[in-house]
Amino acid sequence: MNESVLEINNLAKSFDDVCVFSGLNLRLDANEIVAILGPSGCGKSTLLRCIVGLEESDQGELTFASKRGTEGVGYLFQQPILYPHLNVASNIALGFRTKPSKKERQRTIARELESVELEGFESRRVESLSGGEAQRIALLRAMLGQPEVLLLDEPFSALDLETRRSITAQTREWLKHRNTAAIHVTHDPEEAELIADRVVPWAALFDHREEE
Amino acid sequence: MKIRLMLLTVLVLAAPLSGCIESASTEENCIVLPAGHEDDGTLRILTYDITALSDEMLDDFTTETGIPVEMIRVDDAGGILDQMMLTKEAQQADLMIGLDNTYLPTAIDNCLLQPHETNQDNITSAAAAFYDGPLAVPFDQGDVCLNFDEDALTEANMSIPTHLNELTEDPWEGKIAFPSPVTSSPGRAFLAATMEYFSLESDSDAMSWWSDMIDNDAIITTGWTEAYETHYTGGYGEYTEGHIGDAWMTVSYCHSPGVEAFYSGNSTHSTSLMIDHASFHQVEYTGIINGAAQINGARLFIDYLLTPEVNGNMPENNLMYSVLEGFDLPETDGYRYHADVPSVVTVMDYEQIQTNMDQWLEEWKSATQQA
Amino acid sequence: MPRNSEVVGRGFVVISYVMLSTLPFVYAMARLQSVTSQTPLEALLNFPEAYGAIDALRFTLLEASASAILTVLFGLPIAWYLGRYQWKHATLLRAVFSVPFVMPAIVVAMGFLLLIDQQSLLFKAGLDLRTETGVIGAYAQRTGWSHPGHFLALIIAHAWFNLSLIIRFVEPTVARLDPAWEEQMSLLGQGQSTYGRLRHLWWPVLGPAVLCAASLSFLFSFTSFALVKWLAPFNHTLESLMASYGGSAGIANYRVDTSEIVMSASIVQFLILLGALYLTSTLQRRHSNRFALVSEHGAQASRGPPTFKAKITVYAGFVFALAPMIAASTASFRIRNTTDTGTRYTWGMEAWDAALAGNLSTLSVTEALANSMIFAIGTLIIALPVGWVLASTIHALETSNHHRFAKALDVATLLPLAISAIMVGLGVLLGVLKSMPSLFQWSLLPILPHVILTVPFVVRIMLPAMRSVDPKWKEQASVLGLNPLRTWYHGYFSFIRGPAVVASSLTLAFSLGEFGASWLLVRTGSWDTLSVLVDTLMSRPKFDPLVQPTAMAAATVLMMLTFFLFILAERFRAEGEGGGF
Repeated sequence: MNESVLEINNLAKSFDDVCVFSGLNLRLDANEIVAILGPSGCGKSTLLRCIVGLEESDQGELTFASKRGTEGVGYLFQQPILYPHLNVASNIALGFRTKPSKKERQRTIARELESVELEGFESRRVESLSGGEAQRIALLRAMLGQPEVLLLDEPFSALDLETRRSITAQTREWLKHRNTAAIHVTHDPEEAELIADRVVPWAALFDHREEE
Repeated sequence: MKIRLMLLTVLVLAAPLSGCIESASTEENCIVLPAGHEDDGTLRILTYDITALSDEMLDDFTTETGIPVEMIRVDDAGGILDQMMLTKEAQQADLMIGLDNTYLPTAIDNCLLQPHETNQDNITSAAAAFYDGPLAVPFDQGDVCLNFDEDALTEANMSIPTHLNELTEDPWEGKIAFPSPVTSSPGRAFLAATMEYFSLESDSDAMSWWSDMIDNDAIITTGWTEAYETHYTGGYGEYTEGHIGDAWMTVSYCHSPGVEAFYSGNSTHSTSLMIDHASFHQVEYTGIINGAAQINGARLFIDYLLTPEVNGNMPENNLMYSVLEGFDLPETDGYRYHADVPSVVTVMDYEQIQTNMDQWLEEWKSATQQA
Repeated sequence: MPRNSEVVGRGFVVISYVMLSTLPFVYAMARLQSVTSQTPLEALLNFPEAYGAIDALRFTLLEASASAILTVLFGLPIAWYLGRYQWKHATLLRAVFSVPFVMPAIVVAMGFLLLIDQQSLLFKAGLDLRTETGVIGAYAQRTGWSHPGHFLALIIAHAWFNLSLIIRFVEPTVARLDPAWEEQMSLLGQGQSTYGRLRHLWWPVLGPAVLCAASLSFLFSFTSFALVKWLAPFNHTLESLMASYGGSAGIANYRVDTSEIVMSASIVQFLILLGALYLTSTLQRRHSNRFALVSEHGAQASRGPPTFKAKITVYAGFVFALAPMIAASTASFRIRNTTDTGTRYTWGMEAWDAALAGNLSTLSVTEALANSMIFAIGTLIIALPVGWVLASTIHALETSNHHRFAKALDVATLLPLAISAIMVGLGVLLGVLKSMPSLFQWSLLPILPHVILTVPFVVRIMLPAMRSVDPKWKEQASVLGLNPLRTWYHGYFSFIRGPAVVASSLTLAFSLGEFGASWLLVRTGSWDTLSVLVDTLMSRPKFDPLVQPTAMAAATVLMMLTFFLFILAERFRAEGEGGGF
């Protein structure tokens, strides 16, 4: 059995006395990509927000194997949040956790862009990007921080079918190449199958052990 | 329409002529201008914020004469002159109230007033001495002098100055507030007094004294109110907002301590500096503006202003002496008791002011480095 | 494509307004040129020689800059917390913070003097800003800076005045920013530290709004004169310098020196303020663009009720905003009574009786109030449509890619703010005298300068609102088959209605409080407004102890009316609307 990077035990979260979930369990192994499949509004996004620390859970345990804890977690929003006052390169640069030299920074960004087939996009304005391009750049940025775990909150749902398929496959390849574990939430079974090593239905999170 | 055009032409042609201030142009060079505005039966009075003319008074006048009155207010006597100069080509007011004897010659030289007949028999000689011609009639008077805070001097163990030169010395550093003669009529009056005062001295002159006052950190303010209220410690100013209270002496009227007492139940610690020639007899005038429309109303108002009922109440309503014979300050609450009367006051005649006032102001500006 | 009649109509309004707002200045300048026999360039070069001019310029630049900085320091935390959380009485809070902006300067001056006098808490705490004893005096001695206390009082008063600028610009942006922007930043490497978040998120988003408010604050502090006269009596700003001499300027062969001073000073002031205005309009444009990218759902709902720190900050600001006004109102009930045994103060309604009966002046407070309302409504009837047309013309030029014209017109509508009120008054006076002297009989003449000064604010409020209306609303309405009027109403007007109400109340409030520009115009007593009444009474010798409290009674009526108008306007302002000025 691979070592786990994240263990969730008996997690519960409510908003104003409305229970979103409780008794949630999940284990994520190193290099593993898990897709959580569930309908819209069931609480998938809330789970991810609890993991990354944007929300505080009411009960339960979240254990990270890495000492970095939530700092070692990357997050991809549903809409790519690219800042309009910055160009592509500057947006990506926000992801650096250290302060590389200007040359190093430029080299890294150029290399990353090339890896997603967006060479030469450094000085483009974010308004001029297509949905797929924007999401790829957001992905690059999230990975720059070298997270142990990447959380993807239905980031491809706004894209057309073709783009969605290609970008999902690309993302999987990319994550595997970088040995990054990931949790991907979606309502689309095809997307879940494409990206994940293991697909977990939402309901299964509430049994004692997750089932495939 | 044609007549109007003719009158307008006359006005346009006459205007440049009447605009000249070559020195010593006399009233004989002035022509009476046609009305600068439509006569709609209302009398328009151009004045500073004169408290003598209360609502009841104006209502009484209207009731008696059937002529409604409108007040056009400017900030002070200088403002009256400015306004008349500015609207020379089309005067908007009919009657002027408030120019004093330091401003009157300029107004007359610029043909801003027109002649009229008024019975001035009952007017005191002190009021009539400066000017008794047909262009202006005195309506109140008073002596401008330095007031000081008795209590402050006692506490500081200082004696009362007997000569103006003492005020340029250390104990008085930064302790005297003067309203600027450029912008204030009491300030102007006091400047004239210093001219007279130092003309009688052999070894000092007025402008050196003013320079020395500036070197001694004298405070120069735009108007009387700021000097008296904000800076002077001897008056009601200590109870008003913004009082700084850094001056023990300022320019006001010799009877101002009487006014203080009148409003404070016969108590005041302000008194006047009684030094011969260091005070100036100020007379305030009213006159029909050249270019007035409601001339009849203006004449009637001047008469009204000189009635015993109105003029006799100048001390209470306008805080100045009446110009009529037989009227004095009231005795109530120590008004008369605390009002100081200088033994020797500077009285200047018309020619002196007419010839010299502008030059004195220029010299004052350079001596004190003020605009 | 706009119809020909629409173009002609717009053209007429634009040209009329531009002429109306610039002609007085041009006319006054021409007259001063002929009186002083110098060209504007010569007057500019002679500026250093005019007595007191350099000192006045130095003081003005210093106090205006310091005031702008202090405004940001005071206002930014309040705006931040106000926008960040859900407040129970948000409407009341916003109204209270808005009211200072339109208070008549003389009322504010009195209020602040009351707050710093020897009976005040500040004085008791050891800070004597008025007579400058104690700590302030020691500081003055040590640094050689004369009157630091007065300077401090002045810039605090300016910051008070301009507080609403920063709140109105910044708060809506904070309130409406999509929380995802902030969350994303906190999850990125560079966003881990507070500095990182400030630098990469908050400064880009809020920066233009803050700078815009700061530059407007600079402008209003620059042109201040009543506050300077009362709070810093030993100093002059350019405006107060011109005010001292404005009465005798522009007359041939009479006191030419005053004409020279006014001419030089007004040109220098105009150039500096033009720069500030250009900056403001650029920043506001940038602010509108950034703002257009925020979401419909605010951050407030997700943050909930205010924290303790937020409450302290906002409530402290609330007290600060109300303090001078409460002080001035309280003073209307306090009557001094001096007898030979000393001076006592009693509380009573005598001043209010005198004010309501008009005992101390030519008018009672109720008559003056009626006059104020007449002028205010008259101003509104003209200023609102004119400002609306100007704003929509600028917007139409922007959307049809005539950006240069749009920019030029944008700055032109702000011009009146760069022109000294003295020059406006002088120009109107001279112009009317020359061409239409009978206009002086028209008692509604003061409406003219009121309109000139309020239209810029109408434009400043309406323009961002127009920019932010999505054309899709109109498209949807027309696709649904609605007629042109209903399309206009549902697709456009209903989004502009809120800002229009805000603009209206601001116009009314400004007109109520204004007397500076009408200063040089001939004032007939029976048409005095409340602000003129307050000023008249406050300028009187106050031997009579009733004078000052009566003035404060009139001032209180003015304040209550203004306050009421703002509460009304805030009800109509849509939640989190990015109005700004």
